[in-house]
Amino acid sequence: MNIVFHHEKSIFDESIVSKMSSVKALVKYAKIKSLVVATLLGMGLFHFVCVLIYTLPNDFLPETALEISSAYVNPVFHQGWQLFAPDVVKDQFESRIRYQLNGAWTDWEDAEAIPGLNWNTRVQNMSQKYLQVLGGDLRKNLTFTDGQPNYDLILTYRPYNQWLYYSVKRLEYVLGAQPESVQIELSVLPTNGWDGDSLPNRSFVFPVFNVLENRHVE
Amino acid sequence: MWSRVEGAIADKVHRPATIWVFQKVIYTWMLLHALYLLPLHTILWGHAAWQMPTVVDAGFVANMVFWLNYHPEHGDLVWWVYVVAVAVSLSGFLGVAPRVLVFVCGQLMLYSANYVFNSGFYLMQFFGFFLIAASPDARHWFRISLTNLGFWACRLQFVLVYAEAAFFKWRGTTWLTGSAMFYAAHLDHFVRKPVADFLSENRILSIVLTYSALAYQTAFPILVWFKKLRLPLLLVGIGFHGFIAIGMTLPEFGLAMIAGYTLFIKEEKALKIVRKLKVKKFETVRTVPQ
Repeated sequence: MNIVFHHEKSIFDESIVSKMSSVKALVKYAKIKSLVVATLLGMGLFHFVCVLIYTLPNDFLPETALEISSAYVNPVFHQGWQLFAPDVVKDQFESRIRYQLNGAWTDWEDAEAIPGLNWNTRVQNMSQKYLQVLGGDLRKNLTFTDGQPNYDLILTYRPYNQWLYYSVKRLEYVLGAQPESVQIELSVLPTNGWDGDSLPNRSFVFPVFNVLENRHVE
Repeated sequence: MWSRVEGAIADKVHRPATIWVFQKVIYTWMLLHALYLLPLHTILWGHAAWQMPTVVDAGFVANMVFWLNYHPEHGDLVWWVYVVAVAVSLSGFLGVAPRVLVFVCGQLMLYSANYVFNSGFYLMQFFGFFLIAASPDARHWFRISLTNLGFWACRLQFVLVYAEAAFFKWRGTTWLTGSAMFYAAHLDHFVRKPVADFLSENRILSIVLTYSALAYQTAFPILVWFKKLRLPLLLVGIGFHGFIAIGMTLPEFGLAMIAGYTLFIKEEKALKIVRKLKVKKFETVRTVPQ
């Protein structure tokens, strides 16, 4: 191209050559602009198609589409908008804790309260999320032996352990000292009254955890 | 056809005042949210954090967002960089850099203490991401394109929230039987006591509110595109999300959704706001492109 222009330079008037050069440059620039705008638009469309595939029921889609969308969306754009859906939770969860400090065990007390910070709704919501996850895990994985709950599986899974971790840290914060042992209780309080159901409250008392030895002792 | 599309995207910023106002609104929300979390930040991030560290599969991106999990010693640094970057982004200084920091630090904080956040924070993070390179007074076609596409991405994201929330509710039973608000009223951690008591005792009100919420969320993604219906729709939404912000214990989520309504205000209204605020870059704007 440059050679042609160089040749033309000797035949045509300088200004015409200059204009032709400008026109060519403009065309080239316009093509680049078009390409870049199309790419940006394509990226935007790709983003939202992937988000839709990732967040909506997608059983009917080919495996490749699911893999691509998941690889793109998760984790940076991970999202889910099942806000109080498909159903509002029908169980409320409460947790109590007792602990051993200087050899003496305390009574059961609220495991969620943080003195001085209870006004902050994030504190309540955060602990409730932990408990909902733990409650869900109990529903799925709790087994019974002779009518008694068997916590073997539960103690190895994350939901219980992350609540235990949180609870020990909370105690350290509140007490200013590390407890020697802790024991956690979870209560499930079903909401009754809408359709005549009368489901009983249930409580689960987990084995004692020795903090110093980092293991459960019962 | 393509030239028209390209022109619409790259020729001029279509709603400069709206975008300016929206950017201020989202960074104001982020600053207020950070202030709300300020008393908690030492128990959320840092050496003494209460969250059990997460172990994720190998993979660069996954490990990148979970970096703060592996390096809790940097919790304070990330937190304060986030707060300062939000404040600088709100002021409008230093352009894109603080906005990138807001998004990166926000993601790191999110993935090392995800239970403390609700959907409001996710939404604001995405808005912030889409508008990282947005500039209401952009002159170059590339920046103009990023601004216009970012604005539309925010709108789509916002509508997507409503559409998916409604979609999943239609698949449940409590929303269809009208009992959802009744059950919500019994969640002490999510509904303030006076509101909970009132709803528990008024079954008809619970039913009316349940179906109203479902109808609103279903209709919003469609009706919001009709200019004549937009104002009443947004006013109802302010009431709906105002209830969530005040009556429930989710003030940040309610306010995040109300903040999102800024995306749909008329450019003339946004221009009035920026003129009242005496923003210099809009002093010379005479006509309002729609």
